[in-house]
Amino acid sequence: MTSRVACGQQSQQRRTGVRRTVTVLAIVVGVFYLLSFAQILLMK
Amino acid sequence: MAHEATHDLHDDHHEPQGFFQRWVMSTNHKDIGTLYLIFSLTMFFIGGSFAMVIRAELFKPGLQLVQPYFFNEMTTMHALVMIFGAIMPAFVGLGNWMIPLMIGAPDMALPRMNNLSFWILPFAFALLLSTLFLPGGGPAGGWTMYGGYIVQPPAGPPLSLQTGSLAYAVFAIHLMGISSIMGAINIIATILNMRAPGMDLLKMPVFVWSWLITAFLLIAVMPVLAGAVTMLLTDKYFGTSFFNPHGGGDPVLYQHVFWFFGHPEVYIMILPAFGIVSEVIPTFARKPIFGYRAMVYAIACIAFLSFIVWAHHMFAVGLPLGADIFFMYATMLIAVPTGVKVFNWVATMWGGSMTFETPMLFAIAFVILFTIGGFSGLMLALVPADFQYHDTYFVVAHFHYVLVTGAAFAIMAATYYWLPKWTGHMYNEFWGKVHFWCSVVFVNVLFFPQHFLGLAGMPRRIPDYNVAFADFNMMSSIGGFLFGASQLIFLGVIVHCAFFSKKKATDRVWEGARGLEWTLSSPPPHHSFTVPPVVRDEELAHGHADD
Repeated sequence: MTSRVACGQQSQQRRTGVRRTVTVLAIVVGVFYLLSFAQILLMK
Repeated sequence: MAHEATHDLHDDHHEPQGFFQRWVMSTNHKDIGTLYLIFSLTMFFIGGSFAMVIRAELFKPGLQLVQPYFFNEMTTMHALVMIFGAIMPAFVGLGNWMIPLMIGAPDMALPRMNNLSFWILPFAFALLLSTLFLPGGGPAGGWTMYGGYIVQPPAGPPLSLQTGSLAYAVFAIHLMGISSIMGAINIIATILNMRAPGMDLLKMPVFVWSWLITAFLLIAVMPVLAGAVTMLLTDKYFGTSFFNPHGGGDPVLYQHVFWFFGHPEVYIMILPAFGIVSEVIPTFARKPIFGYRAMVYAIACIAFLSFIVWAHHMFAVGLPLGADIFFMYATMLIAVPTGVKVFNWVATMWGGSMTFETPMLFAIAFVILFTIGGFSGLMLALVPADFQYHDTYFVVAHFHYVLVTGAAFAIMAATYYWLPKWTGHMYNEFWGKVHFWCSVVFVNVLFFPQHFLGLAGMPRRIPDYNVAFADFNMMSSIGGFLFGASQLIFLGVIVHCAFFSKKKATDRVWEGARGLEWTLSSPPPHHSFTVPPVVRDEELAHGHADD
């Protein structure tokens, strides 16, 4: 397992921040992919 | 607090033992950065070898060496390999290496995802390049993969369009897209959360800013590409008709969707280059960058504009007049923030105490030659002029000035600039300068005549041409061979620096270098900034509070 030192998430604040950022970005990417692929279903 | 959290984990500071563990299982940003850069250099030479085939065939009129279909495979693969395999991974490698060092972070925020992002790439490119060995050959419809070439059944003998090469290429593009998105999320999460205390957003180096904005561009457009190529795939193999006119589809729709990805993609390949040049010039001019905030805002402005100019690639399809005018003016507007950047680079040098080491030479060449590419871009933005230039060698000349003397020269500047920091040894300055002068002379011999060929009407993507174009083509090919050969010097300088150089690099390496990365030893320890550093404003090249 990657250690806290290696991944640099030394503090709880950083860990929470990284988790929030990644969650938001993952949702954004997910929505973009969904929109892109929804075209395929809607236009078929 | 950071110290408390880390002091009991000191056993993680050791370098991993064993080749496999270090290079395949690595979660260290420096090692993964090195892997990206080696991968990129390999792809640079593979893509370059395809370019040599193209230029050899075009040395004289008539078919000399290869069949037309193979020529088309070469143009397609050259572009895909250079864009997705050489330029983009090089910037990701540089970002991996330098962003944590520049913002005082111990590593990327998501190191295991970092490892996965990299290791997807060799498989994606193995898949893509393997299509060249398929019975019908690889994809040959150009890197844009316009539906008209790909979807419709080909006339004449069976070509690769009837084989699985499109499916391989589409799957490879999906993999590259996933890799890029994971890399982008990692970079954003790192920059937004892992900065050392005191490293405010507007104190970050311009290179870090350029990557932050680029990462958002990647996230926005990669899913669009994935959607577009998937529709292409279903048209080809599953009987849908998104782009196929035989079933009521619209080929122009593909161009719209593709270029909505494609134009921001161009900026994905140039914004980090802007960042690199904004690091190199202040160091060798021994002055803080002129107009730091303007530089950051200009990058953001260019990124925004990149989303509303896509149809300037499609003027020739016959857009409504209103669309022509909108996209023409929106495109010309990009010259304003770009002009701000060029002005600020020149103003940084103005009155500076300049020296001309190899990174600075490449950075100055970037400013001049990229500007030539920018000006020819402005010419192409004019709708009436574009009707003449469209699909000619003028376009080829334009984007090679942007991507070779722009993006690739910036990568070379970055390599010379940071190589002593990475390896702990100085490269050979004499051979670096030989590489620079050979590159800068031959790249112009290679691409400048292509402007004249395009203006005279020579179409792009053809293996044979009218004898009227013979002289400039021969000149361009000679430039191409010599430019290609010059890059072997680059390889030699890197290998020499990494393995044989006896000259130790100092921590700061360059007299005028400022920023956190130069406070570390050369090479930096395997785990750096395990305790967040103290950020002193006077140590930063830019981003002073009073700027």
